[in-house]
This record gives sequence, C-alpha cells and structure tokens, in this order.
Amino acid sequence: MIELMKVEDLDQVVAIENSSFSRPWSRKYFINEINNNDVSEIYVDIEDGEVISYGDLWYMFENCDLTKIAVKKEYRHKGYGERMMKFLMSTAKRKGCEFMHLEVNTFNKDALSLYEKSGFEIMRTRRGYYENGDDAYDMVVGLIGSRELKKILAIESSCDETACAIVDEELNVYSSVVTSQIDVHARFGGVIPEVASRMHVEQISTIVKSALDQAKLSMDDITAVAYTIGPGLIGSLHVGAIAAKSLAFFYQKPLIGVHHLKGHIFINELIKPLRYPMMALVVSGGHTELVYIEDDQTFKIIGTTLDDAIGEAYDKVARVMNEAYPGGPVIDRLAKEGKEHYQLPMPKVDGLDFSFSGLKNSVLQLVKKETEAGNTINKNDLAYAFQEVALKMLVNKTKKALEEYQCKSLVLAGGVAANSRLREMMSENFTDIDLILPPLKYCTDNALMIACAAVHYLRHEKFVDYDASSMPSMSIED
Amino acid sequence: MITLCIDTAYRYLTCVLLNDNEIVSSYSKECFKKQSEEVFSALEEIFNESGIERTQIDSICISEGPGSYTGVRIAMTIAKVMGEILPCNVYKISTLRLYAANRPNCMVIMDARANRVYCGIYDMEDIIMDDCALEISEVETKDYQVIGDGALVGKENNYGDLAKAFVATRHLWTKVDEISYLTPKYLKESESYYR
Repeated sequence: MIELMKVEDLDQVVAIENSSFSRPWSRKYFINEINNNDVSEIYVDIEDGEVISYGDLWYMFENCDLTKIAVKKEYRHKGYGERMMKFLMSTAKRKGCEFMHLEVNTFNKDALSLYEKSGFEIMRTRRGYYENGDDAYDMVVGLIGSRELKKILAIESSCDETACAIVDEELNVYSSVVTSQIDVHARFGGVIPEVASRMHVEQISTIVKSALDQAKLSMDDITAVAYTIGPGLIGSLHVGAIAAKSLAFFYQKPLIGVHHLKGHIFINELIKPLRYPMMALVVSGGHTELVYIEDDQTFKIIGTTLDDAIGEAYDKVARVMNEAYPGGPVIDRLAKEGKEHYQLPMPKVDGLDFSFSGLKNSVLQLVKKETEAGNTINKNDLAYAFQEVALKMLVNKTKKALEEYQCKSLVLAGGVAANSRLREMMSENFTDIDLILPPLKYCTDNALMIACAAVHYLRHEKFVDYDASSMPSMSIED
Repeated sequence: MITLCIDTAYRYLTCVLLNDNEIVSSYSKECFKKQSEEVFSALEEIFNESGIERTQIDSICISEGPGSYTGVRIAMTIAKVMGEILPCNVYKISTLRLYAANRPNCMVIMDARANRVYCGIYDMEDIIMDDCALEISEVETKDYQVIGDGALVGKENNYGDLAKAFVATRHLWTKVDEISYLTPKYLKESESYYR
C-alpha cells in the first residue's frame, strides 16, 4: 500500500537509497525532508512492513518536482516503479499541480524508460550536470491535459455485508463504506437469508450516499456502476443489483456485473501488482477453490471442495464445541492456546480437490469418544488439531497445484484469508513465489474488492444489460 | 411536477410517469417473479415514450407492500436509492390500498401462500379494515367488491387498471420524511425466520 513515509520507515528507505544511488541522500537529509521541508512529501509502498519503493515530490504551486524515486533491488522490473509513478502523478494532479518535472542521468536507461512510459518528455539536456561530468535530461509531463481517470462506483450485497466503494482505473480509492449484519446473524448461529435481504434494503441508500459523500463526488463523475452479480444469497444479491441498476439506468452509465470471488482476488492489486499466470487459493464460508488465472479474463477452477467449504467446516466444528458463530475467528483464537494432543486423520482426496466433511465427522467422533470415556474436551487442543489438519490440506493442495501449473504469483483470497495460522503457513511454505496475502481489513466482504475487479471488466468493456439476472451459484469460470 | 410511480409488489409490474395528475406514459403487465429482470426495460420504455429526462423526475411513488417479499423490495430499493441520490421526494402507499384504487366498499385479497391471504378493506378514503394476513377461511366477503385474487375466496380475479390506480389514490400517498428509514410493509415479522 502506498502511504506517506513515516520516521519508522527511515532505516529501510536509507538502505534502498544507499544501494540505488552513487550519491545517496543521507539519513539526516531524509529526516529534514520529513520534518522540516514543507513543500516535500515522501511516499512509500509498503508490504507487510517491508518498504518496496519510495518517491519524493516537491510541491511548488502549479509545478511539482519529482526529486527521487527508487525501487528496492529485488523488486525491480516487476511493475513497482510504474505503480509508484502512477500514484505520484495522480496524487500531484489531485493536489492541483499542472506539471511534473524531473532530472535524470542520460545513461540511466531503466529510469528513462519508466519516465517515457509515464509520458515524460525531454525538454533539454544539461551538459556536465553531474559531478562526474555526466549529462542530465530535464523532463516534464503535463498533468491536467492528461485524461480524466475513469471512476467506478461498486456495490456489494452478496451475503451479510452491505457495502459501496468508489475507485478509479488506477486503483486510487475515493471511498469504501461497509455495514455488517454479523451481530444480528451471530445471535442465530448463521445467516438467515430473508433477514439479510431485509437488512440490505434498510441500509442500501445510506451506504451509497455515504460512499459518494465521502468521495466528494456526484454520479456525474462516475464512469460505470458495478455490483456483485453472483455467487451469493439470491435475495441479498437482488438488493445490490437493483440499487446498481437504478444508478446505471437513471444516470445512463454502463453496468458491470462482477463475480464475487474475482473481487476477493483483485483486491490484492491494491497491495502489489499481480503477475500472470497466477494461482489463487480462495477460501471462505461458501468456497474453497484453487483457481488458475492465465490473465485477468481467464479463470480455471483446478481444485474445489467436494463437500463443505472450509469456512463452513470451521462454523460446524465451533458449534460442536459450543462456541459462537462465526467459527473461524473463534477456532483460530483457541488454537493459539492449544497444543498437539488429539490426533485427527488427514482426509484423503484425489487430485487438487478438498474435502472437509470427513474431518468434521472425525471431530464429532473424537468428542463423543472422549465424553463417553468421561474425559473433558480441551477445546484449545481440539481447535489446534482441527485447524492444523484443515489448513495443511489447503497448503498441500496448493503446493501440488503449483507443481502442475507454472505461476508467477500466488494470492490468498476470501474471508478465511484472515486466519492467522493460515497466513503463517502460507508464508512458511511459499517462499519461492510472489505470495500475496491480503491485509485483514480486505478479507471480509466489502465493495472495494468489487470495484477493483470491475476495473478489469471496464478495461475489457465487459458490461451487462439491465435485465441481467443475479446468479446465486455462478462459477468463476463464467 | 413529474412523478414516477412503480408497483412491483405482486403479480403485475406497473410503472407510470405522471405530469401532475396526467398519465404521460405507462406500462403494466403481468410479470410474476420476473420484475427484477424486467423493471428497467419497462422504465426505459416509459421514459423513451414520454421524452422526459431520467434525472428530471421530481418524485417517486411506490407501493410498499404487502406482497411478494422480493417483489416489494424492488420498487423500494429503486425509490430509496434514487430518492437519496438524485435526490427527489419519495411517496408510498400500501399495495392493497393502491389496488383498491379509491373504490367504495372494496376488499382487496392477495395470496400470501400457505392458505393465507393479505387482506384490506377500504371505502374510498376510509379504512374499514387495515391490511393484515388472514387464513383464507377467516375471510368474509360480504357485500364488498373484491379486487385482487378473488378466486381464492370464491369470486373472480380482478386487478383493475393499476396505472390509473396510482392517479386515483394520489391524495392517499404518504410522503416519506426520512428515506433512509423507509422499509417495506411485510406484515410478517422477520423474527419468524429465525426459527
């Protein structure tokens, strides 16, 4: 995620600086830039606490100077430079700048190619500009002449969250509003469809209005309206669909019907650039799938659950243990206190598919056996045993999938991506591939993810008509 | 004053554009359980026919239920979102009262499934019996003119002209003060779904 540089990022930024430039800025210089230079703003691209790239802009009225841009060595040629550049240009534009200016060593081919790709043009050559006698180019790009970025308003209502978000085609986020019904459904141990639909209707207009208000935009600024077309609860999907269609119809905007799981996958693009072909492990209350993604339009399910989804298995096991719904966070928490004690067999499933009902039955039988023997169940240990087996199955199948399909990146997606042990296991097991773990706040359903996916639909002009039906059991391959 | 009226609560899909009290264009067809797919094509048809700009409406009036839950939510969602975003005034009327269309001594019957009906009795502006859900066996049609699913109580089915019904009931519409609080009239509480 790209954000303003903080003092705690200093060590990493200075390290990148030292390995990138022959005459690097000193630590003291950076501190001065952060604390005392009013015209300067340094932005860093951070993933899991690691600084990937940074850029420094000096804002001077209608002009701004790009004084520094650098990408950490091992992340070069992976799209991070362009990502930072796009961010800097759209940020400067939003702050009212009309031009961006920079100087670059005429021999620095990598930098030149990035700048040219970003629209910079050479104004003049400064002979002997650098101390070693090298020449510099003065380069400039116009910001206001550049095309207005297309903005998407997206609505998500497939289960028990009502949400609306606005992003533009370069993934600048303008707003993201979510209300969850989880408290209501928790009282009854699961989502009751009719109740969910009713709550969506209650919330929908307020949510859409707040998304526009927070973004300080009106519908006239919006290029296209997106919504979750499926999969999900039919009654819930309906409400979001009607809301999105209303906006599209009255303001005559193209309409985009987004597959919910594509949302979970593409939201990872807010974190870092996605590289294809890509593998996605999609894990949620309704899905457990391995999806091979050749490019942003071609999805193939190569493994799926033969019975329960992983999230469902967590809910059911939590119920066996008399614990609250939703089961995921509860079991994750209990397992942290647990140790290896109970033995649960690893279900045998062919190929790349998953199965969790056998595991759930093993838990039931274990509880029955222990209770009959007069032993009290240690919930922590039981949670530990269940979680280790369930998650190991996910990791093993993902490994197998990556042996069969060559991929450049691996993304974890869906609600269960918030599970701390799963994140740990993924990080331990997939070190030689570009692994992307979504930040926790993006794991639960939201509309930002639908908007991120919709950017791709818009790019390929994949629109739907007003009479498009919601598809409660739509496949990601459709 | 341009008003868009929409009823999606039951068997019919009815959309009307009014200029004050005059029907400019209207659409009303039997469309059970297909409203969500067809409502925008119907709206497109009446807007195109009228020449009225879509964003130029001053108010929306919807029937708030009772009826099919999914159906009721369609018009309600359109009204809530557009009322808030355009913005425009929102009015509502009970679906049964809309069907009664300001007739004298009129009983409206609507299938509520499982041998139950939604029923309301109106004498023009006056409410003789407020909308409720009844067992079919409890319904006494007496001398009332029966509108709606009359066949369920030994009469003829008769739905009347629902586009004209919006005009006839105009003085009975209720203005919605706080659009975000507007919810359908389900008549069956959601608590019953928790079992």
